Amino acid sequence: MKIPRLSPQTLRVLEQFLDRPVAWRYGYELSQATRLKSGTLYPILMRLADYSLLETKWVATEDGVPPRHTYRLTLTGLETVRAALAEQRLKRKMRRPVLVGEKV
Amino acid sequence: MIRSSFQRWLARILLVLGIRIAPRHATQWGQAMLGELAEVKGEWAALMWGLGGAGVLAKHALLALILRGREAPAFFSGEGFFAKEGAMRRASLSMIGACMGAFLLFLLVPTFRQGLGVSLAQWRMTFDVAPHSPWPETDPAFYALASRAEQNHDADAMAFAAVNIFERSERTRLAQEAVQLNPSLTWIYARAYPTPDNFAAWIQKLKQWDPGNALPYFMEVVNIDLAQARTRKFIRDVDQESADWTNAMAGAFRSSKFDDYQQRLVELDRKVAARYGLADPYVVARGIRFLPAIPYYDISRFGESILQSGDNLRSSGDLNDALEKYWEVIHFEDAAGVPTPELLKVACYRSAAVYQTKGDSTQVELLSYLANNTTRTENERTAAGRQWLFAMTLNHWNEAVMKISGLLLPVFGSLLLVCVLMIFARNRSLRIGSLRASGGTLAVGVVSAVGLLLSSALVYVSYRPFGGIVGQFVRTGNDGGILQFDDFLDYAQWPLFKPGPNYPLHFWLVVIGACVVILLAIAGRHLHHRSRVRVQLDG
Repeated sequence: MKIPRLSPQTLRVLEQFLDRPVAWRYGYELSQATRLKSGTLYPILMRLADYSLLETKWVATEDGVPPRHTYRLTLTGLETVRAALAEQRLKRKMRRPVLVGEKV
Repeated sequence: MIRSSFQRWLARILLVLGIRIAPRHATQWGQAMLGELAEVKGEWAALMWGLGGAGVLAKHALLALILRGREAPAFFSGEGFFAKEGAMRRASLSMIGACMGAFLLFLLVPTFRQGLGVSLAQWRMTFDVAPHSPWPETDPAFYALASRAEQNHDADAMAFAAVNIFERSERTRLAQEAVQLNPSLTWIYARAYPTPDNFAAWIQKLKQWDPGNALPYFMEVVNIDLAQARTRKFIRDVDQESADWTNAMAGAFRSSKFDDYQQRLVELDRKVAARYGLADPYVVARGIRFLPAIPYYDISRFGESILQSGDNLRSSGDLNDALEKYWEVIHFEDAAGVPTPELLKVACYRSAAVYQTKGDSTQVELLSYLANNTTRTENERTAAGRQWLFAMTLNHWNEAVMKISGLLLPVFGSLLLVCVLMIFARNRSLRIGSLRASGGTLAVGVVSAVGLLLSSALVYVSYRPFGGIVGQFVRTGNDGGILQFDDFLDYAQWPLFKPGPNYPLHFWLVVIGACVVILLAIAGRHLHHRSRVRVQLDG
C-alpha cells in the first residue's frame, strides 16, 4: 500500500498513535504531545486520512460548543505504519556508524 | 480580561473565514480546528492556533484555484465566474462591474488623477509627440498660459511662462514684456535664460536693480565657461583667464550677498498657480527645480589666487595687506553662504596664523571657531546628502511601480473595452439580463477588470507620497520634497526601456508579470472546468 512521505513531524504524530493504537485522539491533545502547531499538525492528519491510514469521528459536545473531531489509526494504517516505522528505524540504524564491539 | 477574549474571538473569526474560502474537502478539517479552539489553553496560544489553521485553509483555497483537477473552493464553485455559456453569470458581471466602479471612484480622487497623468507621461515620450522639446508634455500648457497672460496684461503669469517655456526667443520676449509691465519683476532676468544677444543687457539691468548681489557676476562667469566649453578651450590658470572673467569674479568677491531669487520664484509660482488653477505637477513649481548654476570651480580657483597673493604679502612681511586678502575670501564666503568650505577654512587658518604672529589671541580664537564651525556644517551637509541618496533609492521603487502600472493600465483598459464592445456587438442588445458572452471573452474581461483595478491601486499607492507636495506648495509655499518630486517626475516621463541596469523596475516587472500569469491561470482553469461540464452535459 502506498503511504505518504514520512517526514520527522509525521513520524512524531504516528508514534503518538502507536502508543495507544485503539484510543481516539483529539487534535489539540496530539498537538500538545508532539509539540506541533495547528498549521503543521492538520496537514499531516489530512494527508494520513487521504491515504486511509487514519479514521475520523465527530464527537458531540455540550450545547453551544462545536463538536470535536477525533482520530485513530485504521487497521490497515496500523499495519502499514508499523512496517514503515520499522523500516525507518532499520534505515536509521544502518546509517549509524557501528561502534567497535557492538552487535549489528 | 477583554484583551484575552479578543484574541480568542479573532482566532475564531480567522478560522470561520478560512472555512468559508476553503475547498469542500478541507472544510471539515477547518471545522475540526474550530472545534479544538475551545480546548486550547492560553489566549495567545488560541490565537496562534487560529492563525495556523486559517493559513492551512487559505493555502488549500489558493491551490484549488490555481491547480487543475483540484476541487474548487465552495465560495467560487457552483455559479462560477466562467461557468458555461449562457446569460452572463451574476458573479462575473458583479466582478467586472465592481472593478469598473472602483476605478471610477479612483478617478474622483484628485491625487489619483494627478498620479494617472504622471504614470501615462511615458507614453507621450514613447510616441515622440514633441521631439524638439525636452518637456513635450508641458510646453503647450505654458504657451496657453502665456497667451492668456498677454491678453490679461498679467505680468506675473508672463514671468512664470518666461521661466518655463523651452524656446529661448519666446522666453526672452515674455520676460521683457513682464518687466516692462512691472519693473519689480526685473529679477526674472536671472531665472529666464535669454538669447545670447540679450544676455549682456540683462546682466547690466540685474546689476543696477540689485547692486551687491553676486548672482549676475556668477551668471557672467558661467556664460564665459560655456563659451570656453563650446570651443573646447579649457583654462586652468587664473592668470590666463580673460579680463571679463577676472572682472566678473572680482565683482562677485566684492558682493555683499548672494540671492538666487528662489524665494521670489516660489512666491510667483504659488501666485500664478492659485490664480490660474494650475494643478498639473509637470507645470506647477517646475521653474524652482532648476536653480541657477554656481561656478564652484571658478570660485575655488579665484579664491586660491587671492590667498596666494596674501601668502606672498605675508612672506614679504606685509602682514596687514596679507590679512586684507584673507579677509576678502572670508567675507565673500560668508556673504555667498559658504559655497566652497575648504577655501574658507584655509583663509581662516592663514589669517589666524597672522594674528598669532601679531599676538592677537581674540582674533585667533574667533577664526579657529569659524573654521571648526565650517567643518561641522560640512559634515551636516554630507549627512544630509546621504539621507537624500537613501530617499532617492526609496523613490526609485515607487517610480518603478508607477511606471509599470502606467503601462499596464491602458492595456487592461483597452482589453476591457474591447470585451464589452464584443459582448454588446454579439448580442445586439443593451439589456444586461439578456447578454451572452463566450467563455473566452468573459475570462479576458474579468482578468482585464481585475488588472485595471490593481494597476489603478498601484498608481494611487505609489503616487500618494508625492500627491500632497504640489498642493502643499501652492497652499503654504513649503517647497520641501520638491527636488525628490522632480526626480520622480523626470523618471516617470522617460520611456520604460532605457539602457543600463534598472533593478527596481525589473523586480516589479517580474512581480506584476507573475500576478498576470496567476490571473490567467485561474481564468484558464475555470474555462477548462466549464468545457468539462459541457462535455458531461452533452454526453
